[in-house]
Amino acid sequence: MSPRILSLLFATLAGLALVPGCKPKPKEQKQTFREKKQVAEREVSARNLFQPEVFGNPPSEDNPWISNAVVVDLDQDGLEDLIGCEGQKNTVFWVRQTEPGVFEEITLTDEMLAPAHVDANDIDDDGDLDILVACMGQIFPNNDLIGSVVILENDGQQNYTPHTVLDHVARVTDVRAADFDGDGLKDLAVAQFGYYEGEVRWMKNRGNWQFDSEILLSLPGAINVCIADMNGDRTLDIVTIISQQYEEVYLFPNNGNGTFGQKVLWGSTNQDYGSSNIRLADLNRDGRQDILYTNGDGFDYAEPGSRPWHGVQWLENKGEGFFQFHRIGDFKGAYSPVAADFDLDGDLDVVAVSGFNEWADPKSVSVMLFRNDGQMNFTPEVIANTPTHLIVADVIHIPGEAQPSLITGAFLAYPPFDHKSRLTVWRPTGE
Amino acid sequence: MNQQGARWKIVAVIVVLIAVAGGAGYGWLRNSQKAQIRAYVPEVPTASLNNDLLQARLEDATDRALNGPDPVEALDELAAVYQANWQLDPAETALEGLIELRGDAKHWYRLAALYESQSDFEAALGVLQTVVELAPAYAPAQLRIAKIHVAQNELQAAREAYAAALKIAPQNGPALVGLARIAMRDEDWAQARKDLEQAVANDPTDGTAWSALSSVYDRLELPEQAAEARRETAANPAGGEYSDPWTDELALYSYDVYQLRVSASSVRAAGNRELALKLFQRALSLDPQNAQLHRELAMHLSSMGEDEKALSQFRKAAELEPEDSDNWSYMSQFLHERGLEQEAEDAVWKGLSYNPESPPLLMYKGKLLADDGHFAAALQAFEKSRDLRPTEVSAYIQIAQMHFRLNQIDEGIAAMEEALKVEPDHPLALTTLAIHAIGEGDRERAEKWLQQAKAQYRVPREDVAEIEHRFQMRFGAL
Repeated sequence: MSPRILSLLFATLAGLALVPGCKPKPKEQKQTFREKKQVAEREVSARNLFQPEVFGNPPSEDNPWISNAVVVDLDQDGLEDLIGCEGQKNTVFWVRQTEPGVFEEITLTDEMLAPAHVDANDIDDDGDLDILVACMGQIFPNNDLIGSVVILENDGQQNYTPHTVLDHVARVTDVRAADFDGDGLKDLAVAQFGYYEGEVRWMKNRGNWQFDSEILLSLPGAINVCIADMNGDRTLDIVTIISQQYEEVYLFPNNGNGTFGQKVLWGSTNQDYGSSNIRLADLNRDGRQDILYTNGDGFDYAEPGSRPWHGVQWLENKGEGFFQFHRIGDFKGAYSPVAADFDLDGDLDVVAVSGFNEWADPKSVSVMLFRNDGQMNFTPEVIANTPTHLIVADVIHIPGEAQPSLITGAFLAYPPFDHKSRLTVWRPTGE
Repeated sequence: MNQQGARWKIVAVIVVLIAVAGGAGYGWLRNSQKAQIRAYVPEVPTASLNNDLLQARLEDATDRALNGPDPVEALDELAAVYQANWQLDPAETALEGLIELRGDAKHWYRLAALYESQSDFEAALGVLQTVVELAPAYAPAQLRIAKIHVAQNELQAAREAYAAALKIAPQNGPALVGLARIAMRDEDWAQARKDLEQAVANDPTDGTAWSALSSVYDRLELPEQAAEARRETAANPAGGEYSDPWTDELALYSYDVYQLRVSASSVRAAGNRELALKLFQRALSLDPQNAQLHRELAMHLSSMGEDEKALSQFRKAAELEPEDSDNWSYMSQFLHERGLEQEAEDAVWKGLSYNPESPPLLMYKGKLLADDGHFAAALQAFEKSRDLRPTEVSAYIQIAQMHFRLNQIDEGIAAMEEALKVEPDHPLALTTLAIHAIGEGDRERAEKWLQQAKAQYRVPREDVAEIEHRFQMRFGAL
């Protein structure tokens, strides 16, 4: 056979063989998600950990809109209480622990316009705790300037006088207090969700319930503002989460002189991520505040509901303003992450609740424990499937009980309404 | 044998040899490819699917990928079905196989999207660089790169990626808005204004650009422009969506009706009405008795000018679920907008016969009664609607207007004040209360309502001017 024909033959064969191999290969072999996944495939139950009981006033016939609740010793009697707000009835309430494990609810005001968040702080430095109320004006979408910040001044006997310190602004969703500029007066950090437009601002305290505002961010969708020294420079910084056109966690590092920097700590490129809450906790106990973060906001969508990417994560504070994202686990409709050592094994576990799960499916979970193995690996364990529509959770310590109890609040804006609750305390069973 | 015959024999032998070798090579290649594909065909999950149709489709495609005549096509289908149904582990495996076998930009891109959906930004960025090399004209890849950099606070890299997207598509709204956001971070309000004004000039319906522009105008202390931008934002609530065919088309493989509806809305907002129609149709093929789907398809068809088909879908929705008052109210609205008043009224009355306690239908009923001059009866309908849904402001406004028609001014004013408790800056309530206070000579209240109306961008400026004029006529200068 001539060399020419042979070369033709080899060229034909070589050409055939090379067809599939000529494309670029992946730059590196990646571990699959299956290998990376920490979440157990089969449901693990933690239903026996807690016994749920009605907390505060019993639920009425209507559908409660508990928009926020926070545990605080409001009357400073050594027993933790709960303050909270109801977005439809315009109330701020106090569930007082009168003696260990015994609670009574008192309505402090019913004149807040769509309150979304409450917090306690001694704003006027008179030794008692005042209440900061973030008012949306209207819970459901509205771009009007109808938000306000009201401070309920405590006279020391838990009688409160309202001071509106900010109004006619984009809907306010959170307000917290701290002395940002070192002048001895408590200033405010304010999250304004708005709708098409929103803001994050800090408000310098001029005394006598007068504040000046400085806008830190002009974007809609701010949900929470948290305050701590996040970068170790001994000034109090502001962390916020926005969830509207963009889904991002921001750090506003305090320069110490009444000015703040700005940095995105983490963002999702999925504009339907559904960021719902952040809360600070030193989850890995390294002395730095980490950011617990849920995405499960079903209001985020044209039709409210869950999404497969909903879940719980934490941003590990690596120091000096650097953070690393870690997924804790999937959880549809996740809200209100809270860290505590629920199993008393020395590390911090995480509990989150669900506001928007697939409630027609009885297997849908409404309260989930993410149990920490001590190495920051978290296993989801189902605490409960009902009651449903929970967007509020906090931890309360009842004297005489080693394990913390959990308090949840329900926001029932969408059907089905067949597993209703208002406030629930989840007392540890000791198991 | 002569020399020519011998030569022909040699040629024939060579041809046979080539054919045999080619056949053997092809067979070897096929086997080799099959073996190669086999490594990337995921095992069909059994526990996590909860959907028989999806399960059957995956089993069928898996079988074709392993044993069929066109295994690469089958693997392609598998990758799409897994990814569209949020089965990310097997989707990743299948995509890796397709990249190995085909290495085309689309599959790299989908792999990047998969990494991104798991917040694995580092991996996504690495893959997207390959996409850019393979498909330099695909603007969505640059937008994804930019968004990842923004999410990681890498603003310079984000700026470069947005600029690259604009080179490919000079009128790209999301890229302009992205650049504006970075300028806003730098407090470069002039640059942000320039980018955003360009974005709304390119697409006056880009609500995302308008909303950012209103904040920029605020910072530049341009209140009139800010108010105008707010009005434009309210009129154009959508925005920020962009066509991304390589991911948008994945939705056609979804077996989740809800997800299909969401995707249909999203691609419609991005301007791809035909794909939206396909997605609605696919959703209906999965759930043909879903009245809400029929209604949404009707609304989509209506937006496409397919009135006859739309009406048929509205009717189907009402037939399937007559107890869902939305089916009647949307149909009535559709008929009303087309001037078919009698048919619109019939739909309301029929809907009410099934849903006597429906707040939206009671509102319609009230409007119909009011149109016929039956104000007292209309008032009753509006009051009932309000009692059933006290958080909805429109009932309060209608109640107030019925009181005014009945010359019950105090009751009307009280209803407007109630409306403001539900929606604190309702434009009509503010202007009505301002005019009433001026008429009553109550300067303090008139001034309060007027100031609120002036601050409310939804109150038309000519209305504000008219109230100011009345105020000055009554009380003198403001």
